[in-house]
Amino acid sequence: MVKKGLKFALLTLLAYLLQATTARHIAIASVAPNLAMAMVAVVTVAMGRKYTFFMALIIGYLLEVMLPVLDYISLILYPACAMLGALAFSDKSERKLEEERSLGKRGGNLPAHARTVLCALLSMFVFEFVNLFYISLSGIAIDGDQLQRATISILYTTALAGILQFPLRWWLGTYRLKKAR
Amino acid sequence: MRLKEPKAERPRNRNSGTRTVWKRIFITLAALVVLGLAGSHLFGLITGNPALGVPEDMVASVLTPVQSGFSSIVDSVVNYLYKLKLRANLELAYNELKQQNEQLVYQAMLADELSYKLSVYEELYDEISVNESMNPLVATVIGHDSGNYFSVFTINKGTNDGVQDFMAVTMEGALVGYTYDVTATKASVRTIIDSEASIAALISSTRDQGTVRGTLGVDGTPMCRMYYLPDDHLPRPGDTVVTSGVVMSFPKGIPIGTVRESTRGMESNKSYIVVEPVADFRHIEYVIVLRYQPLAEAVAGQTSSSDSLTFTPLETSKPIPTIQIGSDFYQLAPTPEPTATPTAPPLDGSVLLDSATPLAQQTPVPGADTQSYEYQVPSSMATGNSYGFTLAPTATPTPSPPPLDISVEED
Repeated sequence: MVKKGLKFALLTLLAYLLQATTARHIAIASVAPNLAMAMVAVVTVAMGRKYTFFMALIIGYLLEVMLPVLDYISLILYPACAMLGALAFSDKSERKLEEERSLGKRGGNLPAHARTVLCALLSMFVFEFVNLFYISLSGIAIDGDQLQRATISILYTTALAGILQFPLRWWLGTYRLKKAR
Repeated sequence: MRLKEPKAERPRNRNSGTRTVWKRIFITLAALVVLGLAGSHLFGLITGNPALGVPEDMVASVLTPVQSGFSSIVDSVVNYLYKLKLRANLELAYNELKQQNEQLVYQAMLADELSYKLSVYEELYDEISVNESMNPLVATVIGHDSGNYFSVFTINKGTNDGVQDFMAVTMEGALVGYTYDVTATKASVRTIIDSEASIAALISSTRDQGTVRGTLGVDGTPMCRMYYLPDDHLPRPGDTVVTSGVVMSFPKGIPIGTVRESTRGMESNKSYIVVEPVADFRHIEYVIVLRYQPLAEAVAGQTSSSDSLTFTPLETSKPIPTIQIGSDFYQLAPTPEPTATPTAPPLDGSVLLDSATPLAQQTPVPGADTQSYEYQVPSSMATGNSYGFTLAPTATPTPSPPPLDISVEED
């Protein structure tokens, strides 16, 4: 438990540091990926909703404190987007699975690696949508260039989540868990 | 064999329950701390209370050195990767530039070679155009004799191109040698510095005739010697030696060289003068073969036209004696016998005109014959700009040396 907590703390700190220092160096077409959101998506599938929420909250708080771009935006947006992805793609609870089975549905989860990518895609879609909406509310017209940049950011972050999930899940010990019967 | 006790039925450790409680308390506190920090930040932004910014300052003071260290590590890694990329790009650019430089150097060398060939061809064209009547032919040297005693090279023209034995070969307006051993596709050229070569020549200033031979096999120097000169004239250094046009079917007037030493009169054991060739025998690449053949018709035409060249003396107050030298050219008209009674003048004026005044068209006019059979040195080459020599003027007369005492005592 303590080991897991330490790993979680280190992963959260690493996600923040990578987002604050490294993301700009790996930009494609001047569009930097959201490394923190990609790692949150990995944690969402690997560790669950509670860890997702706290990780997104800490990252949002640290970004809000250390890189204050706009008031409230990071502190609110990161947990909100992460929890939206977690609601859709985190492991379903036993209760939920039993409920689906009782309704005659084929209960179960999608493959974890696919859910990680889809979670990152959904989270980043919401994140970029809110950002564009915020910009449009401030009086700036949204044009094709901004939509293109948002699309690149979503796809780039999703691809990074798909790549990073393998080392992160291995480090978190997810691959060593026994399959649930 | 004793079966392992099921895990669920094993007695629970008392400490594990206490530990779980503490863990939950710890997790709850951590969550509360995080939520409290976030809440204090939100309320601080809303209310603007500076006291709520204290936790932010504490977090920032803790996080700043960590972030600085991490950022420096990331920057170092990025700089290293950037340098690697830059080095790879520089290496790539260097290789491309090196390749381009090699291509440019090759093109420059090719351009220089083509420029040199163009200048050579221009000079050849000038030489050919002024000696068109000599039926010139440009040939390329395809082989050199590497011996120390003979100077022979091979050209890529033969009987298929009209080349025959003993045709004059020139280069840059000067005689190089003559052809021999001609086959269908190639011919050998013996240069004038070869000791086997023997060419009839004359000194342009005094018109003294002699024979030029090479000295390469005699003393190893690329020079010529001129033999059989008259004894009563001493050529001066700088006098031009040209072909005389006799013996071989050479055109007349091809420059051979210039007189370098003329010590024949001072040293009685020397029966020759040293002639320095005009042609540069170390840099022979292209030559011109003068396929000159004195046509019988042309010679006959000249002879027939010269029939009218009858020397007619002008009227003088003194009687001119009749001189018979033996040559028809110099034979003077016979003196008419004096008559006692002068003949009456003819009535027809044309008869008088025919008999007393030579016809204008019968008088040979220099240059009237457009086809010259004497070698013409191209004007650009005669200036000495391209050959490095200048035809020395020989207008200044010099006293002839005292004739040798060749009297023979009579018994």
